[in-house]
Amino acid sequence: MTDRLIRFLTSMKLAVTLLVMLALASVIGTIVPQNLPFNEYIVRFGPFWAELFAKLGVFHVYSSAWFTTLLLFLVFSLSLCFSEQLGAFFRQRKSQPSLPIHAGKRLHCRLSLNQMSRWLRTQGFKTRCDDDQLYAWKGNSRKIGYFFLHGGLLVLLLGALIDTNPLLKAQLISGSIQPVPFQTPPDQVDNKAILPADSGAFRANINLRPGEKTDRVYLITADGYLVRKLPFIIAIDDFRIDYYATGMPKGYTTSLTLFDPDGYPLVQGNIQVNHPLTWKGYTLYQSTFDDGGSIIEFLAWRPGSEQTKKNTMTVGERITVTLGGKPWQLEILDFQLHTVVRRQGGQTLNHGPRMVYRLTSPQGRQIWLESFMTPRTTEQGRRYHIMGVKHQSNAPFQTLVIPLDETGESRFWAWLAQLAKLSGEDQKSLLVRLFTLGGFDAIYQFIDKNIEEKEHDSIKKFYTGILLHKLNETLTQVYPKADARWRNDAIMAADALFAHQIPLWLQMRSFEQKLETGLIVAHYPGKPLIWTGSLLLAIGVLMMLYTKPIQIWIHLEETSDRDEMKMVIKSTDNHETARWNRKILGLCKGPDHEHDGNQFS
Amino acid sequence: MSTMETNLVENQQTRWLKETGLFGWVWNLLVIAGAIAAWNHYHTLMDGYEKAILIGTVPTVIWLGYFWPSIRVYLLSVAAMSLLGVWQYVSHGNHYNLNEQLFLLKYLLSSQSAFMWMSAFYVLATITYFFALFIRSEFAGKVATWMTWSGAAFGLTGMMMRWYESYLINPDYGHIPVSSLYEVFILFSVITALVYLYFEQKYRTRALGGFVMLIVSAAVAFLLWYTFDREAYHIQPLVPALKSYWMKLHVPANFLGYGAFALAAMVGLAYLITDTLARKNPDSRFVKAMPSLEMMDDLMYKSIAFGFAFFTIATILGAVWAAEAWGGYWSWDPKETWALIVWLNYAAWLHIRMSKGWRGRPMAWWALVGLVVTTFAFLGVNMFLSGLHSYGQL
Repeated sequence: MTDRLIRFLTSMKLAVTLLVMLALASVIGTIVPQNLPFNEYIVRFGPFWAELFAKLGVFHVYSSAWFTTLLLFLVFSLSLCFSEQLGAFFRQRKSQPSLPIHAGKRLHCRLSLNQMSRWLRTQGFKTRCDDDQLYAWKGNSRKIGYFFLHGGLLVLLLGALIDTNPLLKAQLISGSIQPVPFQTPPDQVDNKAILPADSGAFRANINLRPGEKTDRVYLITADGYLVRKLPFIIAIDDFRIDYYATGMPKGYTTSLTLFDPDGYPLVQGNIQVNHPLTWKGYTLYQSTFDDGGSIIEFLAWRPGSEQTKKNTMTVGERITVTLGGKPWQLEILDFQLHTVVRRQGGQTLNHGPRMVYRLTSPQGRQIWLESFMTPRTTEQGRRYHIMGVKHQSNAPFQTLVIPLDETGESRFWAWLAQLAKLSGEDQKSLLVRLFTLGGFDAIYQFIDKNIEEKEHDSIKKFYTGILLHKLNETLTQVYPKADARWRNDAIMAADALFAHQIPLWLQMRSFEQKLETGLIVAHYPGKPLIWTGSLLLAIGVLMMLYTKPIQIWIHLEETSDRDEMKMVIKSTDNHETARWNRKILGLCKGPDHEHDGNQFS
Repeated sequence: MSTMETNLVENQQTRWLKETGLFGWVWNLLVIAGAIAAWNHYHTLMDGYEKAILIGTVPTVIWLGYFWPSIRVYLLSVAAMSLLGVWQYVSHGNHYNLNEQLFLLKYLLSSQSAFMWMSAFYVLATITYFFALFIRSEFAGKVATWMTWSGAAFGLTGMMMRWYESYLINPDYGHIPVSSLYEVFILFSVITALVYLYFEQKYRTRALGGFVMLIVSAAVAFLLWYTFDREAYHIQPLVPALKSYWMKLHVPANFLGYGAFALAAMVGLAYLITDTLARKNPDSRFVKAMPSLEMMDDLMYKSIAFGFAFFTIATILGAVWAAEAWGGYWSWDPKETWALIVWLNYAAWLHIRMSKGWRGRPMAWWALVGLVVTTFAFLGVNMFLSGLHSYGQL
């Protein structure tokens, strides 16, 4: 029974099946995005499938129990094979493998077995010869290659196992370590969620601003986070981004100093992408960056009001503003120094500094807006402010353009204020008021609701004409030099502003950028094993594939005369088999046929 | 007896010296001289690793020349064409726009023209190989081989020129052209053609040329679409993650693997066609013109073994690089995972062949399926999946 089990575990069939199964299992993890929040999966697959897939481990394939089992099974089978082969290798060194005589080809030879043995030795073979049998072999390094390759793989997998930190996994399962929920403030973390500085492999992200320091990083788990203490303190001295002329990032550099817990400086250095800093097995990488509280100065415009004043806010700051008599929340979400847009054919365009902010109405309606500091100039020399608006966080921004004149954007807003002042009850004023409530669409909807369908088109055309006339008239009052194109642009901008019901518009004037660097801190004690294993693996592959093992048996037939022999040549390489076959045939036939033996060398 | 033994022994010992020959020695000296010139010119701009790569290139290339003498002529031609191209730039003021102004650059040697020549030669070679196979013309076959060599020469010259041009556009942008999907497709078609030419010369398998060049032509078709429809040929600056000497090692090693796997699959295709026809009529003209089934089987094995060795090394290099750039040697990123899948697939192929002794049709089919897997890893991941390797989005 055990024999059969071992034979099954070391069988090639099982090995190949495991390789293929592992390959197929790996595919799943590349098709289904891994490690997203569970809600995301419910949105994508529906609650039933999401639940089922979660149970099957589809969302965390590579750390799921069945995948790990598959891997461990492969390791187990591999180690069994390995030890079997190793045993066989040492046994084989003592005895020669038996001659597969049934497959032998007849051979007439003028040389004796001993002479042939001597010749084969000159060709780099090792030989063993007795009265009626010659065994010659070459390329034993292939066998050694086998041990390098498979042994290297085992060493590598052992290193990988150490680096998954199985102890921590076990502690999490047993409950002796328990993550705290995400909303827990870092200074209120329970002791059960704090890992000491010598607790094995981890990889964690940490964001820090210049001047900040820390001796702890945070490990994210499925339902919360853990604090991992470091044996040193990281202090960020500086963080810098370099840009290409196109505005695309060229490099990120963090200058940092590591201190020991008593505040004694250990090492000072710069890290960049591809240039990490390693200190006693801990490696710090440049990973990402974020805004670190940039200060932005802007003008705030409200449609309908001519007045504005300069304000200053910090990215991340949130304030209450009164708009239309109601308290709205204003929050600056992000700031970017360069906004690089890719165009067809890989050309890029830089729109310069950009800010993103969010307005929340008392009822909870949210508007996201983006604003660019630098106006864009068209080929005709017209200048525009660009803004983007969206009503859902994951939607793309819709672009709005506000025409500028030599004074900037103030005339446009003055015109909007003018429109708001029209209080007459005449048709034109009513139309304008309707327009300020929702743009042209508000008027069309009004017509759709209140007028018979067959007259829609003509009435719409009529009212639009009246409205446009009034709008143009007021525009000319505000800006007598305005040409038709400018007026048209202003009307389009107003239409969009009203249609999106944007109550506040921030126009960036200046900024002071502050950054925050995103580091990865990793500690992988299994690394030396990984690299040793990889090296052995690579050498093993080359040895296995590029040494041509060849075995030759020559057997004297006892029944017939002394000339009658049988020969078997075994090699993985057909070409090599044929080559030695010809060489030996040539050798046997004598000097006249020497060419036959040589021409393939 | 004894004289014969001595002859044979001598043969082996003097092989290195004899086969190197005068041309070989001159060539070796040229390689060393080239490396010294490159060192003198650029050593102030290189970091320690890049210097090590340059020094390591010398014995590698000399060994390559010994191992495969024909590559010497090839590399010399590429060097000559590239130097001529660079000289054209340098002697006229060294700015990128010269590629539209100077005759030699505009029509022959600027990277874009060289790639067009490469494409033309490859497609013509494919047609000529098949033509030679059907009319059984030795001469046409030789022409096809020559065309493949020329295509590969223009391809590599184009890459050299693109490398130089990237610095002309902006010294900040300069990088070895193996950083985008467009660039690696050229690398792929050059490497696949070269690996094939090696096997063709060694095993006299010209009849397989058309089949192998079919996949190269497919790569060319993609490249042309990518050039004209997507204008992907523009030289872009490197994102910070790619700024590493590892790119010079990881990417070419990977493509030696991809190229060899593609070659094996096309030999597998030829095997299946020949085998099927041979079953119907063993004496048909086509079957007679093709190499023996054993030969093709062997070639398939050799190619996969070669590809597997380099793919293993490339994946390890990739892990080393990832450990340096991303903070972990393995992240189960889609590209990584698919590389593992490719690796496991060919590992299984080799196990079955080596231990179980499978040969012939099933292995040929498997090599073809392997190409589908490899293509997905190479192209499909970029098209359908996103991850850390998203440098070559379509």
